[in-house]
Amino acid sequence: MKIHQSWFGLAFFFFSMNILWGEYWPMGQAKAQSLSGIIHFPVKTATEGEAIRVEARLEDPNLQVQYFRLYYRQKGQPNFQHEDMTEQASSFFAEIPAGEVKSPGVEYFIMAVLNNQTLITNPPSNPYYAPHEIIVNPASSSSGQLRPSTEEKPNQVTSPVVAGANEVGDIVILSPEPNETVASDEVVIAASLLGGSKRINLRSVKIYLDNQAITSHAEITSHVISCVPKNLAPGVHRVKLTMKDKKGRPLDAIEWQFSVYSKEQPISRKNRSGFSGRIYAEWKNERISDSSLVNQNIGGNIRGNFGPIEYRAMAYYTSRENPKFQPRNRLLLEAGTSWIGVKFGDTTPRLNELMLWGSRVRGIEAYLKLGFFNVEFAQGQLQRPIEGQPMIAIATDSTRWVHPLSGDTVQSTTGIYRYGTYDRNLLALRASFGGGKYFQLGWNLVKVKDDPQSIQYSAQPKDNIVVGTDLLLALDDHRIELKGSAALSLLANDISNGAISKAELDSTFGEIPFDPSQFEKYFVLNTSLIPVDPSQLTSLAYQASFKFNYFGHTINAMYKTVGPEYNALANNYLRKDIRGFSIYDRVRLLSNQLLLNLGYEQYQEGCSYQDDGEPTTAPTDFSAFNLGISVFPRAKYWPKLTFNWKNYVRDNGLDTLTSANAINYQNKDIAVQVMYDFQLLDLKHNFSISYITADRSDGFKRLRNGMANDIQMIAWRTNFQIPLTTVISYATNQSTAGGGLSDFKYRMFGITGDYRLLNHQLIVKAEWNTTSAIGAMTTDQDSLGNPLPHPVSSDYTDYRRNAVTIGAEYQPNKYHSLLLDLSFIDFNDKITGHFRDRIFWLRYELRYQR
Amino acid sequence: MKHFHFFLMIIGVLSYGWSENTWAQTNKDIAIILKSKGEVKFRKEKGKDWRAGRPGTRLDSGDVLKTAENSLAAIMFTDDKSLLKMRDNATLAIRGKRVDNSIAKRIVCNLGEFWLKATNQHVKLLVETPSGVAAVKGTEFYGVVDAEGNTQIIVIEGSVQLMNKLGELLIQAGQTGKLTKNGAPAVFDTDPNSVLNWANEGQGRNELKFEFQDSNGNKKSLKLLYR
Repeated sequence: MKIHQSWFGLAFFFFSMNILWGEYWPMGQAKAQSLSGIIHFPVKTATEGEAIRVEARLEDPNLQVQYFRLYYRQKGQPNFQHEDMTEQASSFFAEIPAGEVKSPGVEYFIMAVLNNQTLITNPPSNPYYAPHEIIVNPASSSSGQLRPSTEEKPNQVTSPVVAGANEVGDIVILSPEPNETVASDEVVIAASLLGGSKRINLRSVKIYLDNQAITSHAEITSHVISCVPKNLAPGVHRVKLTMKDKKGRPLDAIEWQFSVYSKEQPISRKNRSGFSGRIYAEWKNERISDSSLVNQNIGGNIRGNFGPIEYRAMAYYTSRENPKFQPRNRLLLEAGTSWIGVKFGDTTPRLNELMLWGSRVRGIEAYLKLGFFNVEFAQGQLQRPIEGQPMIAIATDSTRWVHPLSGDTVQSTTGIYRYGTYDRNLLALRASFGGGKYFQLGWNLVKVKDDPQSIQYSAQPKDNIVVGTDLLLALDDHRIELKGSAALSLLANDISNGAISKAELDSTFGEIPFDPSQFEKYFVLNTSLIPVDPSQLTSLAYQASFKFNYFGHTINAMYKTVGPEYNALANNYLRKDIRGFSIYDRVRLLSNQLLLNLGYEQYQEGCSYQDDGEPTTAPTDFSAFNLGISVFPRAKYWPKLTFNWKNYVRDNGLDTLTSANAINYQNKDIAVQVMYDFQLLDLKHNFSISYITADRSDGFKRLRNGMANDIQMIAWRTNFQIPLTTVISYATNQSTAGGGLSDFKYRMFGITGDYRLLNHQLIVKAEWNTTSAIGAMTTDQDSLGNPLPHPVSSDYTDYRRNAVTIGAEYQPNKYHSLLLDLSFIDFNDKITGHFRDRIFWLRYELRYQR
Repeated sequence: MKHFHFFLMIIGVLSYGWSENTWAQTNKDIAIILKSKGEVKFRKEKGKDWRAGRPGTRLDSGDVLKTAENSLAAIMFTDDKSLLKMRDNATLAIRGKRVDNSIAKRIVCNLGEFWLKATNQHVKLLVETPSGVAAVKGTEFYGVVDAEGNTQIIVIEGSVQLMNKLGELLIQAGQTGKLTKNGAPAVFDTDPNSVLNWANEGQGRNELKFEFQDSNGNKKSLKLLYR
């Protein structure tokens, strides 16, 4: 292959911005929000059924993290699920699974817990009620994700049917038809050039089968391209045609797939065994801020069916597994049919949204689904025991201890510096009636209990039992859906001393023919019970939702109430002491080319403050109105536009004169994004520009509570006539808070270049990016809280980071791929110092499909 | 003047050669054999040698095909994917002329059974038999030509116009048209017991395809394979 030296030289000097942000610039991502200490580019748009990659990093890369989590939910759902984010070179990544990315949208926020127990989030303020919002567009409309066609791995089937006339005009696939199944001895690959033949340079036509060039075996004339491959193995095969016009300009490739069956094999799915899998191994060597970390990961998954039984296995082992943290390794084995199945290992059972919904359980999960009657069961470990750390005892004084880190003498009742986590186990059972197509009534029981003997240095091991019910009514293939669920909880907040004795029970409540110690193995009843009086229903949670999908409208409405003393340890992230409703409507117009999103929410949090008799506390009313417009015209060379406006208010009605807890915030968020595909200088370009602004003002004009954030982002991708793709990106972010007391400025510029060789089997890339950030804090108090005569400003961060990455990915066929990435980073922080960092990453992956 | 005439002659020869070449290029690759079972052969219009017609063989205008006992051939036209299947012991020739992005097609069948599915009703497609001509309009039908040249056209879908020197007739789906050398075209309702279906045989499977919209308004298709 000719390499144009001038272009190669130019490409060599193209560097990346995407060490942190990936190989390409995902459309729909905005730029960094960083005030809380987490730098994150909010994702604004996505396509239904496609996973969403979320990335973030700490503002201060020197901070140590206990965990970094991504919380997400579909819009209209009450509860968040979470994924632990994976760290790489001071950045953290996670994906919202494709199955969760559904119209009208997804909401998410990021939370990090540092080693010093500090909790930071993004969005920085009230993320649970004001998470980031992603507009999810139907799969038929143009994607918000920027996916350069040259970046698509040739052996990855990303769409089931890609066929038909291209921009040349009338290249027609003759055989096999896209997605057709043909016998192995009847495969004829043929396409007709028709009118395009006048413009096509026939010598430039290349044909690939499963990423292998077969041009030399094909017959190419001015009217027809054809090839008859022999001995094709049963399974899915993919054909790709590439060509150029007579001016040397590359034309749209034509790709399609078809399936081959062997005539000896019956086509019945019952008797057919399919199998696919992949395994990978990677090695990373990172040297960041004078600290070295070598990390090896091995993982893989297999999936297949043996007759009616489908099976799946997944494994992930990492050298970062550490008994001082919750497990990072994962293992899952599952097998079953549509009516019976079992899973062993790390499962995520979903029984009831209020009780158990996606938490990782290491144990067993099983189901029996007969339709009229169904049973689901899960048992296993929710948390593994991690020992706490005691302080150093002082022999002469049992109330005072020496702090192991600072050496200071402190007072403590427990003598524990860092509390451990108990071994926490779960038992869940669900019985339901009805198959769920039109009706289902379910009864649920979830029991979670800590083992007080599992560790020594911690406090308040718990015992929790939740019972609940749920009902589903659906019509017209779930276009109309009514759901409701309710749950009641009991929590023994401290079972370290076991159940209350009968004598103590009798002395408190009178003679009761009941000995709690006899039922201790079922539930530990003692004075730490929450609620003390379940009949007050303070531990009741219930919700109802309605869905209506007709006439281009998708309406979701929900009402929920969660009592202040509702506790479900298997669903720890459910917000308590709230009630309210939300309603969303997604309107599809002009054949899904115009989408409108309308939403309104009204909640009250802290409902229990209503009757607590305290004049300084009150429930907080939260209301939000959301309007989104997305325009995705199918006509070529028309820009795509997304606009989103959200206005929300939090107000507890208190006055600053009477209470320090007075809240009155108004927030306005506006996001605008324009994407445009066009041709210039005979090259294909994709240009996107985004602007996001978020402002919070305090109704009491307390400047310290105000926040403002402005983000701008530009990305320009170009596909050249040679197999080179470049992306140039620029972004700025400015955040202020506290009426200017805190100020953060962030800038990023980067260039990425990919070049494909060896018939697209080898991709070499080069990246360069530069980022700079300055953060300043102004304070009018000293470290002891005494007022200063004049406010004092100081920078808490002031750094410049330059990174160069070179890498290559080699995929000789659809089975193997080898990746190598080398990154060299120059990090110069005026406060913490100057570091030269590096990252080496090597990864091999083997895929198989039969 | 001599030189001028000579010059004109040269121009003429070159023009003729160019037009012949252009014509030859225009009428090449009008169809391709997709499937052949048993013994399938073809020859060029003016050629004498029969060659094996294997899957992937390209056919030019004027090529003649024949099938032997227990044989089948499936041919696709390269402009609009119209499909032609020949049953055993059949002989026919295909002709086509490219006009813009289409091929005006003519199938000449002297003997045998064939099945034709024409996908584009705007493109000219004629079937010639010894007893008449069928003009096909976006249709699917079977044709049977016997040794006497009598022709039956059994229309499955669409309509076919039958013509001979004694008359013309339009036959619709569910009707059978008859052409004889000495009579005008005739039509009658197809006997359900004698409906031909061999075009789907030998595939090992049949296919049903449904198109529907999901709850979000997205169009999806479902393909069922059955025996």
